[in-house]
Order: sequence, then structure tokens, then C-alpha cells
Amino acid sequence: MITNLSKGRPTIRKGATAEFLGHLWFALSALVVVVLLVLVYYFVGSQSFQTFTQSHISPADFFLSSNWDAQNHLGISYFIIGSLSLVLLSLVFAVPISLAVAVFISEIAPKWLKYPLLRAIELFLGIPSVIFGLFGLIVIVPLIRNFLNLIAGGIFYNGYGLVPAAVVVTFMILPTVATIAYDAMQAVPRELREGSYALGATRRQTISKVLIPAAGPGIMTGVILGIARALGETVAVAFVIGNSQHLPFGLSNYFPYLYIGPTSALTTQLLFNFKEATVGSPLYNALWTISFVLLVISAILVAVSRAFAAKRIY
Amino acid sequence: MNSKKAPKTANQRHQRELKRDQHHAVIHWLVTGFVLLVLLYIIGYTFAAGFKNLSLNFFISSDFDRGIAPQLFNTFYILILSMIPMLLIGISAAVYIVEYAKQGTMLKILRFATETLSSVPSIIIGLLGFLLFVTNFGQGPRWEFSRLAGALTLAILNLPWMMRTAEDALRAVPASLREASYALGATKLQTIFRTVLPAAIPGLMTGALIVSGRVIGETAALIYTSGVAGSSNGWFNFNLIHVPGDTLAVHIYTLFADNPTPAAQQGQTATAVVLIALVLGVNLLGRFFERRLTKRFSGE
Repeated sequence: MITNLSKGRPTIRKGATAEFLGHLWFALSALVVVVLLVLVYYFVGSQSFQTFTQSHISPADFFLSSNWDAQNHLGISYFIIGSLSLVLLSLVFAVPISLAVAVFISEIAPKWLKYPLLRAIELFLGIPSVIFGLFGLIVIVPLIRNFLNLIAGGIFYNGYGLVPAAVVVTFMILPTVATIAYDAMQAVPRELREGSYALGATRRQTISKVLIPAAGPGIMTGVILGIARALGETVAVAFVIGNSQHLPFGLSNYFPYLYIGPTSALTTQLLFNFKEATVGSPLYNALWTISFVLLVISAILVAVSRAFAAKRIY
Repeated sequence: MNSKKAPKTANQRHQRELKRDQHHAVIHWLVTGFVLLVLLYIIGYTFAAGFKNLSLNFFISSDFDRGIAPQLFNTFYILILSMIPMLLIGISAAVYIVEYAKQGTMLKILRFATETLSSVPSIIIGLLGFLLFVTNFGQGPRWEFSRLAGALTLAILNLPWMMRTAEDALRAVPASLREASYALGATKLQTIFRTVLPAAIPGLMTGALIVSGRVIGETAALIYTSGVAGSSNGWFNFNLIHVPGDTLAVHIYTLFADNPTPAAQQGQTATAVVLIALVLGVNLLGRFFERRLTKRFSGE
């Protein structure tokens, strides 16, 4: 940048400092996100290990024990099972439905319907989770309560638990998974579809044998983003999960002989317990350990989704 | 469908495939229709339940069960406070990614960081905000439950989204505009400030509005940073720190968590109506700018 040597003394070209400072400012702004990520992992990580160093809880006991008592004993296995079964059940509901929606918008819908439908689905991405939670509380929970008590012939179920939580989470992750799957299907070149039709395949065969396999890695990135969202969802789940230290399902004396009553997930435990935790107490440390578990799982999910994204051909 | 026997001739197989194809299409029509109906029902039901509880008094009262004046104020106050750092850093970072960064390690690190940060559950960002802003790393108070703590936490939570939408907006600016600017002898910085950023304004508005919708609707990250207190006495103040303030979304949660009375339930659905209207309004406005952007660059 030192160009003008005519007076024998180097002077900086007009504006070069500004150019440099501008470049520096933009580069530092971009680095903020890296610094924040390091901060999140550093603070949550260092706090979380105090469960094992400061509170002297053995990792095996912490992760495998089911007894959670804020004063005496802290074991989180039921909450891990709660979170995992919530994610699994939501996926069982959400993946087929969102794939069907994506296929419909991408392949089946008439042209005039395509764009408005896509916009409508996208609009639901913005609906706050607390609204879904409230809807679950005033509509889904009574619905499940009445249905179960009707077929069980008595008042055995209060309607809270895994099932309403999974229903609520399903409708929250559906727009995410559907729009990403739609994008992946749109990226599949026309020629593949035309080749399939030219071989005499019907639309159903083309979709199931050509389109979905070709868009597979792209669809999977959407599904994994859905998993991450289902795992991290807190408030909407808190409204309907019932907050109790029980397994999400078990045997019951009453029809349908499957207990699906109030339970807990990792995130709702954080939400409900953090206000009672005094700094430095075993409970406080345990909640940070739960946060770190969630953090590690979501980092693994990101890695898996990146692996699928790298496998994308179209 | 009732006979499971394999069809014998090629024609019969063809007929069967055609039938399956029709069923396939019908199923997809039905599933999509069902999804759309449920999603509309969620909004429609909330509106039907809450609309009758809305009154002028509801908007101006600061009574915890019967009014949302403090919550409305806090929502916009926290929105503005969080958007200032987020817009500044988010757009600058996007400028770096689009205009400066070359394909390579740096860009890979940035992509990895934004993706990973945006996947962190919001409750954990909230706890981090508690650690950093509410307390002094857990050792004594810093700003206590306050609207600044909530706003900064939301800025951390949504920065990756702001960067992504800003990046899209900058990439939508055609390369020919930059080339024209360079051809006139403009420097890189002049090109960025006088050509690229002004041309990207509609797209940046879209991104900012979509992120605003996320900020307005966020709950989990705020419960342990800006607090759940109704702050009914002297709520209309601009105190950044030491004064807690709940937003509309947090208010809905608090009314649920504090043993709901019938009055609280009415307030809940009414608040939900206001919240949905705000979020949908902000998102629709964003779409409006998006359409203007495509019109401008497609020359229609």
C-alpha cells in the first residue's frame, strides 16, 4: 500500500488506511461467531465437569441412575430416555408426513397451488414455540385425555406425557423437514425424471425409485435438523410433558395396558429446576452437565448432517 | 385391491400400476390437506379462544392477569436492543464472507461455527446468558435479571440466522453492479458501502424482519436472562440493567407455570393472539420486501 515515493519519504496512498480498517472490521465481525461458539463450549463444558470434580458424583451413577432428588441423589437416565423417545416418536410422525408434503408440493401439486402452499408452510416456520405449547395444552392434552379415558373406561390418564409432546414437536419440525426435503427434490435434475418416464414408469414409481433416492442425502440433512430441533425444544414440550420423574412409558393395569403418563425430558428438567438451583450446589452443577450432554448431542447431529450434505450429488 | 393374486398379463400389470399411481396421488393430496388444516387450526383456534378476551384495557393495563402493557413495551424494547448489535455484527460478518473471504480454511471454519452455533438449544444459550450477563460467572450478581441481559442473549442466539439471511441478501446483488463500480475506479470499501449494501437493502430488510420474528417469539432463552417478573410498578422505564422485564412470549409461559387461574387462562389466549399477529405481521412484511427485491433485479 506504500506507493508514493516521489518525495523520498513513503506516504500512504489516500484511503489505504480506511481500506485496511474496513477489511479488519469485517474480518473481526466474522470472527465473533467463532468466539461465541468457543465461549458456549468453554463455559458449559467447564461448569459441567464440576458435577464429577466438585460434587463428587460418579459419571456412571449420574448417567445410569434413575433416581433424581434435588437434595440427595442425582441421576438423569430417565430424562435421557425421555428425550430420546420424544425425538424418536416425533420422527415416526413427522418424517412420513413431511416427505409426503414435500413430494406433493414438488411433484404432484398443480402449478397454481405450488407457490402459495410453499409460502404457507414457510410461514409456519416463524410461529413461536410457546404458541405450539399453548395449543398442545388447551387442545391436544384434553383430546388425548378424553380418548384414553374413553377406551380405558375410567379416569386413569390426565393426558400429559410423551404423546402430546411428540404431537406438538411433530407440527413444529414438520415445516423445517418439509421445506428442506422440497429443496432437495427440486435440485434433482429434470433428466432423471424424464429418463424414468421414458422407461415407462408411472409417477409413483418415478418418485419412490428415482426421485427420493436421488434426493436422499438432502432429505437426510433436513431430517437431522428436525432431530436437533426436537431434541432442543424446551418451552412447547414443557407445556404438555407433565414434568414427573417417570419413564415415558411402562406397563399399566388399565387398557391399553401401556402407561403413557407425565414424564420429563432433558430440556424441561433444565427449565423447571434451574430457578431452584443455588450456585455451586450439586443440582446446579448437574444442570450444567445436562446442558453439556445436549450440546454434545447437537454437535454430533451437526457433524452427521454435514456428512450427508457432503454426499449430496445434486 | 381385494385380490392379492399376481396379475398375469403385461396389460394387467400396467392397469395395476396405473391404479396404484392414482391412489398415491390421492394420498398425497389428503396428507398435505390435513397438515395445512391442522396448522391453520392451530392459529384459528388460538384466535377464536383469545379474541373475545381482547379489549382496549387489556393493552393498557399492567395487571399481571389482565393486561399486557409492560409485556408489549418489553417485547419491543428487547427487540430493538438485540437487533442493534445483531445487525451490526451480522451484516458485517456477511460482508466479510461474501466480499472478502476466499474459498479455504477460514470460510470452512466460519461455516462450521455458524452451523454449530445455530444448532445449540435456545435454553442453553439462555443459561449461558445467565452465567455471563445476569451473574458474574456465577460469582455474585452482574446485571441481575434485566432486559439488556435478555437482549444480548437473544443477539447471541440469533446471530447465525442474521448472518445467513444477510449473506443471502448480499449474494443476490448481481456481480455486474460490483464490476461497474470497480470500472469507475471505486475502491473495495467504496463499492461495498455505495453499491453492494444499498442494493441489498430490501434483502437485508427481509432478513432483519424474519430474525425479528424469531426474537419476538423466543421464550426459553429469556426465562433466566430477562426474567419472568411482571414488573408492574414502574414498568415504563428504559433501565437496561437490574430491572427484569418479561416479553409477550415469556408472559404466556409464566401464566402457565404459575398455577393458572381462569383469569390467567383468558389472558394467556389473548396474549397469544397478540403474539401471533405480531409474528405473522413481521414475517409477511419480510416477504413483501423479498418480492420487491426479486422485482428489482429481475427487471419486471
